[in-house]
Parts: sequence; structure tokens; C-alpha cells
Amino acid sequence: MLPPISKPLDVPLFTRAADESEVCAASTELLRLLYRQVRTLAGPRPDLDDLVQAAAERALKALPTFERRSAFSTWTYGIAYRTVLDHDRWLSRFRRRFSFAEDADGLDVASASDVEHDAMLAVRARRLHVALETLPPAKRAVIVLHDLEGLALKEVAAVVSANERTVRSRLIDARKKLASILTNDPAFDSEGTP
Amino acid sequence: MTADQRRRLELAARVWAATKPTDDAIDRDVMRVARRIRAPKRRDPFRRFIAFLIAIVSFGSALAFAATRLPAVTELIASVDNAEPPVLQRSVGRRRGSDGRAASEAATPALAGAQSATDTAAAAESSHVHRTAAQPSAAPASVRRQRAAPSSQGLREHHVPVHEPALSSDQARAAAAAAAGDAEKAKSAKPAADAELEQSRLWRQVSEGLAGGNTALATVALQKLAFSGSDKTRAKARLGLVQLAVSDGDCAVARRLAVGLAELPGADPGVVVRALDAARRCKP
Repeated sequence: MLPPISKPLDVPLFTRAADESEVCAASTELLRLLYRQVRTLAGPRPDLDDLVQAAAERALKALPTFERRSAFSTWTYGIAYRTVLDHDRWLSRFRRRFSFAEDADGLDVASASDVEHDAMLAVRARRLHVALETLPPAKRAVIVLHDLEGLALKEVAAVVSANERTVRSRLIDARKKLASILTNDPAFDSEGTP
Repeated sequence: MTADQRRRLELAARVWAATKPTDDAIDRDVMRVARRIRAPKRRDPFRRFIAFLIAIVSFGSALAFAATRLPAVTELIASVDNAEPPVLQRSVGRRRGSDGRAASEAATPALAGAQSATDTAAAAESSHVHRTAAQPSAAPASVRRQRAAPSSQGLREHHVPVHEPALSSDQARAAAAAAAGDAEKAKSAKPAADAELEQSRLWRQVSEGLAGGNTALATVALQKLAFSGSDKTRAKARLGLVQLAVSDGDCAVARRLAVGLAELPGADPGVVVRALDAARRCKP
């Protein structure tokens, strides 16, 4: 059984861990944090587990270099962002040569529909993820982190390693693109609150 | 951004918030990933056995293939050995032993000189043998051995007289070098002559094509010439191609060819100027 979710992980628990069980708990906590962040940035997709594993490996390797200049979650967000970005680059090269058989059905929003029992919500969520997928990775990350996850511009800038003006510019562009995509989507026509 | 678009974005944000995975779902997925990370690497003994078997079979096949090729390789090495100077000393020693040490110590340099003189011929001959061995030949190995043998065999049969005035070892070396040089020249002269013949044939085709109005034939021949032979030949052929393009009114091609000719290293400046001039005067 996983240890209970503690308060937000601001300081790496590894530095304070006294024995093996504490290290294990800390790594599970780190994994949980990374899972949330990678899922936020990449969306529900078939290779999410691979991404989380890659991000966890990166984070554990880079842990000694964490200088506490930002919050720990911002630092891990940066790792998750770079992992997703690298993976997307590889994936775009891969897709030039090969194609996945069940690309369209790769989105796993069943959890949402299980929880809410709302077919319309599931459809909208699926369409939203598809629309976000069409955005360039850098712009997608900015709009997801700022508009959907509620991070401040400064934090987003730290995550994507860019200055705030660049982030603002990307945000405006991403909003325009997402809005134009959603305008043509009949699932977002009616106001019906999910 | 219109009000409708803003409304859609707000709706998207609400959908995003409503479909966030629950803590239980996250825990379930994290557990799966953690198990995956901690799981030891799977080692299937059957797969390892199959891999081992494939390696053994591959190695055995490689050995069998090498064994079938071994006589040819040995033959090739033997022919190369016959052509090299160190063999000279070994054969002299062997001959002295086989002839019952008939030759006196004083006669040894003379014998060596005569041997080296004859072995130069053998070297040339064996180099020929080496060349033919590399080619796909139907001649069996025994035939090749017979062709390589006469040098040493012949000396033994002809019994080089020890009292005969013979070449000194320096002279013999010089003779060997000269013979080897001749052989090299003969070897390199043949392909050069072939290339010249081919080039003259192609130039004849160009002339015939231009005379008969068959520009396709001339173009093909010029294209072949443009990528073979000396720099001079290549440059001239490209000039011809430029002129043909100009006559066809294909100015873009003419210009491209002329520029390509100008970039050709070692091209005659006069030819380049003519080509550029022709391309400049081209009228579509």
C-alpha cells in the first residue's frame, strides 16, 4: 500500500530520510508528483508510464544538483516538461516512418467517465486533449500550466526555462490556436456545464 | 478574441478541472509504474538458450565457409610469397641443400645473382598469377601452381653454371627493380589504354550524333565523358553539353552546366570562359 499523500513536496525528502523505508516513501512521493505533472503536460496517452519512468530516472539522477532556487515542484515540473518535450521530438521522428495502429483510441479518459458518469464530459475531455495535442509542445505546456493548472507566469517561465515575455507571447498564441480549434468543435457549442 | 471563443476556453478549463484524475486513480497508476521500475530484469532461460544456439550455428557456419575457402587463400598466400624478395634467400638455401651442396661457397653470390635475375621474371609472372587468381577463373589451383612454379623449377633444371660470369647482387637488385617497374607499367598501361580507347569511341559517337542530327546519342556520350577521364576531357565534354543546351534553347540548364564547369577543379580557364559565354548568349 502506498504511503498517504502528504502535504505538497517542497523540500526533497531524500535529504532528510533516515532509513531505507523513508527513502522508499520519499521516492514514491516523488513518483506521485511526477506522475501528476507528466500527465498534466502530456495528457492521458498510452505511453504515459514510460514517460513517468523516464522523468523519475532523470529526477533521481539530478537530485543532487537541486539548488533550491525554486520550489521543488517547479523543479520537477521542469524535468517533466523536458522529458515530455524530448519524447515528443523522438515521437515525431518515429511517426515520419511508422504509424500506430490505435492512435485514435489511445486516450484513456475512462477514469473521468467512471467518476462523473457523464458521457458529454468524457467526449469534451477527449476533444480537449486532442486539440491540445495539435498545439506545438512549448505552447501546449504554457497554456496547460497557466490557464488550466493555474500556475503563475513566473513559475511557468521557470518550468519552461524561458523569460516571462516569451511565456506571455506563447500563451497568447496558444490561446488563439486552441480557441480556433474549439470554435470548430461541436462538442463545445452548447454551454451545458460539465 | 471573440466572446464565443472566450466562452469555449472557459468551458475547456472547466472540463479540464472536472476530469482531473482522482487521488485513487493516481495511486493506482503510480503503483503500476513503481512496480515496473522495481521489477527485476526478466531473463527467460529458453530465449537465452535459443540465442546461444543461434550464435553456435552462426559460428559453425562461418567456420565451414572459411574451411571451403582455405585452399584458395593458401594458394593466394603462396603466390604472393613467390613474388616477394625474401623468398629468394629461402629458395637459395633450399636449393643448396637439395643439390647436395654442389655449389662452393665462392659461387654463392653468383648463384644468388642469377637466381635473383630469374626470380624477377618469376615475380612478374607470379604477379600475373596473383592478378588472375583474384579474378573469377575456372582454372583449378593446380594449374595456377604450375604456372607459378617455372621460375624456381626452371633454374634447378637448367643448372645455372657456377663459373659463368654472373651479375653482382647490386646489379641483380637493379634488374629486379627494373623488371618490377616494367611489370607495374605494363599493368597500369593496360587500363589507361582501355580508357583512351573508350574515350575515343565516345568522342566518335559525339561526332556521329552531331553530324547525323542525333543529339540524344551525342548527349549520352558527352554525359559519359563528363564524368570520366582527365579534367581536360571532363571540361570539354561539359562545354559540349552547355553548347547542346544552348542550341536547344534550354538556358537554365546551360547556365547550371556552365556554373558547374566553372566550379570543376582543374578545368581549363579558356574552356570555362567559352562555356560561360555560350550560356550568357543563350536565347530561349
